[in-house]
Amino acid sequence: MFVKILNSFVIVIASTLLGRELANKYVNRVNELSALQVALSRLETEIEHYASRLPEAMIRIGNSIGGTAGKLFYIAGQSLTEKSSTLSEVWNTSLDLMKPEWSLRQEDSKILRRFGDQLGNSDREGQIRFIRLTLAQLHDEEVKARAAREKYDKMYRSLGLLGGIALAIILL
Amino acid sequence: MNVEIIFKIAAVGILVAVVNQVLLKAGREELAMMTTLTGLVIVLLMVINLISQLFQSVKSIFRLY
Repeated sequence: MFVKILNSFVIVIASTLLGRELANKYVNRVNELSALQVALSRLETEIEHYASRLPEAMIRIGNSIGGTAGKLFYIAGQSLTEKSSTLSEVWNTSLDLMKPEWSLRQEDSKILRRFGDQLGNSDREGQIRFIRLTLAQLHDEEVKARAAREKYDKMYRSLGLLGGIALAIILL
Repeated sequence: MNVEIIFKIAAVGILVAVVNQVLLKAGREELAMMTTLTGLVIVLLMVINLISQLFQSVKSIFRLY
């Protein structure tokens, strides 16, 4: 009898955690998009007002903004200082490296890839303009991601809990 | 005839109702309908033995064979 209760408890907890994991995908996407926007606007400030060199600026930004967005900038900055391939190659490789770690979707990576392709190929004003364009696009995606989060976050959490209870009742 | 099965059926029924509401609120109506059907199937599976016994008894009582 006691073992039965313990088992059902374990099932419910496991299922709740699973539901939470699934819900976190949406939460993380919103947070990462927001962090990316912060990082990009800091990059814009660095380029516009300080005229710093790109690798050091990226490493600085990557260190101050933590999490996956910061890591992307940090890795890109590091690879820029170590090898000397072109900027877009380095950016794309860093994006591929980060792929398993973050919860961004295809649209977001496409925006970032386009940003990387343009990054090394223009002068200061062009870069600033393109950063602003990318910021606007990321903002649109973030609004959409927030709406999706509203809808799905709670749903997955409750489904996890209720599914666990249902399983426990059926099996035991 | 153990009473446990009645409680199980009641619990599954309540859970299906709650999941239905949650899914309807989240906008996934087709998923809600599917979970309702799934709940129904699960309960049917739970009682299918009893139903079979019921039909056997009815047949033998009325000698319908």
